[in-house]
Amino acid sequence: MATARELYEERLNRIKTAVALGKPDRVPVVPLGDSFCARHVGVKLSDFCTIPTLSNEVILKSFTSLGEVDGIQHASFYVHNLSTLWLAKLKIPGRDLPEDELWQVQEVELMKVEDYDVIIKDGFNKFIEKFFYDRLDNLGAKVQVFVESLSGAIKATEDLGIIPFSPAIATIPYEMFCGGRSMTEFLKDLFRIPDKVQAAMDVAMPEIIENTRQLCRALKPIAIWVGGWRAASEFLSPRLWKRFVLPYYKELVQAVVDEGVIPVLHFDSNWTRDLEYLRELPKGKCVFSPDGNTDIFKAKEILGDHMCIMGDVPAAMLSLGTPDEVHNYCRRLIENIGPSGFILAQGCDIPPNAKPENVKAMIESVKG
Amino acid sequence: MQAVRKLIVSAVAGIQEEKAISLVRNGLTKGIDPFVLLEEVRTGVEIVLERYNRGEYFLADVVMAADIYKHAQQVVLGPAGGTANYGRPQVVFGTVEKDIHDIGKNITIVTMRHYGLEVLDAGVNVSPRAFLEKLRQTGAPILCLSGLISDAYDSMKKTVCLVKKRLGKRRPVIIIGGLVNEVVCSYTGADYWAKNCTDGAELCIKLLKERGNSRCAAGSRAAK
Repeated sequence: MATARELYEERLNRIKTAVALGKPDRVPVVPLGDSFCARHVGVKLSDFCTIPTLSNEVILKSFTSLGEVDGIQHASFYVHNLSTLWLAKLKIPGRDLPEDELWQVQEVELMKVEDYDVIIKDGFNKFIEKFFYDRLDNLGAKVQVFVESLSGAIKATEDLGIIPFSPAIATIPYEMFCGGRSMTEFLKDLFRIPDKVQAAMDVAMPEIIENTRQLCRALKPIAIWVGGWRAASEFLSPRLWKRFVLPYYKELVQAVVDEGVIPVLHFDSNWTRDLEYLRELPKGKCVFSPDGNTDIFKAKEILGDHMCIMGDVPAAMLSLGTPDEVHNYCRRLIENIGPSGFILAQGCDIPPNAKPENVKAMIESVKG
Repeated sequence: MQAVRKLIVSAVAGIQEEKAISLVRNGLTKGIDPFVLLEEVRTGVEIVLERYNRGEYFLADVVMAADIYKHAQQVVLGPAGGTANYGRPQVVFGTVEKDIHDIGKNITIVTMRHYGLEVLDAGVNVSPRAFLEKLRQTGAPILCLSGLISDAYDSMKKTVCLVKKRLGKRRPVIIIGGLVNEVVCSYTGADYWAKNCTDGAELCIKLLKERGNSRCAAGSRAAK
């Protein structure tokens, strides 16, 4: 029987082969299921989302009980991390919501239009430090709990021979500003004060790049998420997308690649229109991870010889479908998107009310 | 005068806010009927929605066009000018219990109002009983349920069940939107699902026409 170390090497090789657009011995499966895992093993979401060490135990217990996964996308979960990405307040189970309800981001205008000037004048890190303290209830102190626990979560995952694939997240200024301003206000800013928004982005970008480089050096992960949610093509005209979105992803992705880390383009919503532009990112170094809204078959057609694709069993299928439906969909992905340059996963995140037998069917489908 | 009116339509359709508002102000000083000016802005917004439907425009364009209309309303009618009376709405619209997302709901409501629909915004995290109460108060012929998390499926299902059980044949047509598809529609028992804001608005127009709702036929200039 293979040792955990041998399993780790075998699985890492499988994943790396897929990322390099090669054909592994079989398609790797690397799921993410934060809230699902908690419900699956009977841990309250209020505890799961606020105790990072517990979240790591729960994720590992859930997935290892459902089959053989090659890796997991996140080694642990901490709800306050969402505020660092979207500069937004949250509704948290056990605090603002019943104990077993899903955490949610509050869509309010927490970042004011004047804040663009503050960023341009003072720099992004200085702005964000004050923003976290004043408007997000001393968020900087809260996230320390996660930071201090992360290396332990990564080690616990590796000790089971499982790859802690992408344990951290970075994103572009667009996403952070959009979350902080609220989507409708931010979209209007792009029309009303485009030069100011761009100036603030251009000040923020080198600091975000440096922060991301430091993160990569400290954590030495195999991959990190480069997240995209509301920067999706479906929300913006090509003119705005090419100005406020694409150049920033190119820069961030290149920095991550330069650090020897795989950028996983965790791209929610529909990016089909602009897939062609993703060919401008480094070949054989990135993973494109759509959530079920982008046409993954189109992605294969356009990006298949350039970038590994990961996905995209839809949330609704995992919640409402049957194991047979999940198996058939996964096989279709494996045979048509794979077997080279493909990693099987859910689209975005396995939802809390997914049926465990459906998740099991997804994990087992890689075996045929 | 005709030239100013045409320019307003074209400025709004091109999402040029400053130009559109300046033309509206210019029209007012020339003595053009304020409501005529506002109708031209509305026509511009309708062109934006048509382009969105054809895939030429995107959500940001719709959001901005709606705000240009709001801005023009304020210029023409004063700060309170846009307040409408939705005492007898055609649509009751809310985000279902356990879900606090209002982004999809709000954008769709704005779009529906531009299509001439009278919509009551029931808010977010709305319980099945609260939806039922709103329907009883208003007698609205359409109920729209929004949800952007998968936990919303069960809330939608509960709402649909309660409405069907309590209102029987007097129940409204129920449309769901957000993170939904055919399978979710079937699971919840809703009558229809909408894939985006204009799809939802056009479906409501069609349904109201089929029900012979004259208020809609008169008020919905964008209905095709």
